[in-house]
Amino acid sequence: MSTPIVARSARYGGGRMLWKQLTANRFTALAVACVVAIVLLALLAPWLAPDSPTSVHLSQRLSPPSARHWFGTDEVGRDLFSRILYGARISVGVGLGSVLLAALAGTLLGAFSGYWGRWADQGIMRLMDILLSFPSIVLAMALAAALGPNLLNAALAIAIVKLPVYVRLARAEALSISRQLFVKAARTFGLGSGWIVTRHIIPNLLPPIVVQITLDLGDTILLIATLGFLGLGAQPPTPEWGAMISVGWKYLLDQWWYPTLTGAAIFITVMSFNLLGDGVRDLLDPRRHEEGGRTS
Amino acid sequence: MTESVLQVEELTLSFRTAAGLIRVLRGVSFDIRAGELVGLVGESGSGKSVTAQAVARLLPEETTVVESGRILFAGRDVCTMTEAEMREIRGRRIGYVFQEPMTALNPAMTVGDQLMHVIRHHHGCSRREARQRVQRALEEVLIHQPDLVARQYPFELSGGMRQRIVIALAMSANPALLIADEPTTALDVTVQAEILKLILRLARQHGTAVLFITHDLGVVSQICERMVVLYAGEVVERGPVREILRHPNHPYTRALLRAVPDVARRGEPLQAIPGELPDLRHLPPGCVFAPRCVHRMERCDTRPPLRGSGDTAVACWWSGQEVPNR
Ligand SMILES: Nc1ncnc2c1ncn2[C@@H]1O[C@H](COP(=O)(O)OP(=O)(O)OP(=O)(O)O)[C@@H](O)[C@H]1O
Ligand SMILES: [Mg+2]
Repeated sequence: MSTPIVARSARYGGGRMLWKQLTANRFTALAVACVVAIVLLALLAPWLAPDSPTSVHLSQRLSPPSARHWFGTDEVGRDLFSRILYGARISVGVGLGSVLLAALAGTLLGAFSGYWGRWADQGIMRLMDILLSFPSIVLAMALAAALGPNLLNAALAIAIVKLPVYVRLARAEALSISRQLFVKAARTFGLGSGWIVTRHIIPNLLPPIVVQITLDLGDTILLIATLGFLGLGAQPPTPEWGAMISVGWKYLLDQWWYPTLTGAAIFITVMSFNLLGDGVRDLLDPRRHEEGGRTS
Repeated sequence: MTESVLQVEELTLSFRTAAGLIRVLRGVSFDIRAGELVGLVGESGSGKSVTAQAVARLLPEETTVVESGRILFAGRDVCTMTEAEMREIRGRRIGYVFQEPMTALNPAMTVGDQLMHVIRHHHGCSRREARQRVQRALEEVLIHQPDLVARQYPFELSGGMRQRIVIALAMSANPALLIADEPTTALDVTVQAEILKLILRLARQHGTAVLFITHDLGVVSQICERMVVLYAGEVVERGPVREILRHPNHPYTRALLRAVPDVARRGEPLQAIPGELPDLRHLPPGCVFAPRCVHRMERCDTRPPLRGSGDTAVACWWSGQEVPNR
């Protein structure tokens, strides 16, 4: 019972080892490279972008890719390359933000739920069952619409949609960790439950939570774009990819580069994060390892 | 006579299980005086750990039923305290050492941090002072490179080292009572002796009373002053270790002694005790040991009370008949 956790934290602790193992798989290595590049581009957008993402040049509207406008321009003449770069900031930043919010809240709720049990556990888990009973896109749309369509509310809606996964995961882990002797031992030192949950249970359930975070990133970025596309997320002129496509798809036939390049940005980003997530899961989740070993 | 730190009085305790209520302890009574080492011995399943955990109130609250009796710690009944009051006592007044040092420490925290948290919890001191106390606590349990060890995770340490850390944690608030539940069973023989010596020394040095749980009578004879023999949830004999070892009154104690190589008299053959612990759901009507007892009589079909004078007491009709032959 305790060995996997010990082994897991050992594996978890060795940063350099982790990096080595992560880049051993060719797909994962590619994903890591892409994710690093995307994050760098997002961070450096203000310096890399040739133009402001919102400055309008009506005389150059819908111009094709050129030396001046690498990705062409949109329907009001804004530089598409600049907009896509700034869009990366929004997608990656907001995506990470809402996943982390869901993970933080979910881990706390789930860990307390699992450790305390009784009515708190019952209540929290029933609530999560209700959230899980809706398809995630429908729930995200309903929540975003109810909260009011803007980027922050979209992020909040997605965090709520993602919450049950973390609560369930954290609770299941907390249940098995609570049965271990060191938790009982912590009680013999007179430590209270708040302390035991935050210092003894949560640190030991982090590895699967980290895996889940990386698995959710791609999906979340896609959800943000979807909400933006549906007009339930970022609003124009914010350079958000989904919102950009919702206008740009009309130009697919004559100015193909506009929706295509924006779509490609979404595709590459989501794919990279998904591949990274799979790679990290294969590495950190011992159960996965064993399964792989047995089936192959 | 010094004051008692712990008095367990007629404790009867049951567990709610799928198969109904199981009475695991029946009328268990013993006491521990300040600074005294008391051994609690008995076969596996006799209720030693349950007794110890009942004292620190670590048993699962939903399934444990204290049917009767009291557990007085420093004069107050542990069973009627609130959880908040109990938290004040755990760690500060009662230290606890478990059998398995491998799993008693948090795998995700360095041992230094674990000690630091517990010390700060107990003493409410600053980080810097706590760091010094961690150092001293590690030195006290004879860890030679405290700085190095403090930075290690439990999985980097040997079983003996971990048990030292657990002892340092349990002793960090200088408790009045240390409960050591088979602290050396999981360790190899050489390490066992060191850990025993360590517990003995710390207890002497700090005047800590120790409830030492073991099924090893050899260990009891080495470090304890008095002992309590538990059989199927009942105290069958208790008294000063020296007297009991020289003159065991209960047939079960005699049988236990014959089963231990270093305590059994030379020349006498080692003997396992035939039969096994009775099923707690279908206990014999009289003496619980009767089904395995070589001295069984008609009278044993009624339950023998725990009788004795002073420190010594035995629950047996047969031994009560004879005049002690010294
Ligand atoms: N939480 C529990 N619920 C139900 N039954 C329990 C529980 N804990 C212990 N028991 C039962 O109580 C009895 C006494 O167990 P205990 O652990 O005290 O034995 P022990 O004397 O410590 O044995 P060992 O030497 O193996 O540690 C056993 O029959 C055990 O199955
Ligand atoms: Mg035990």
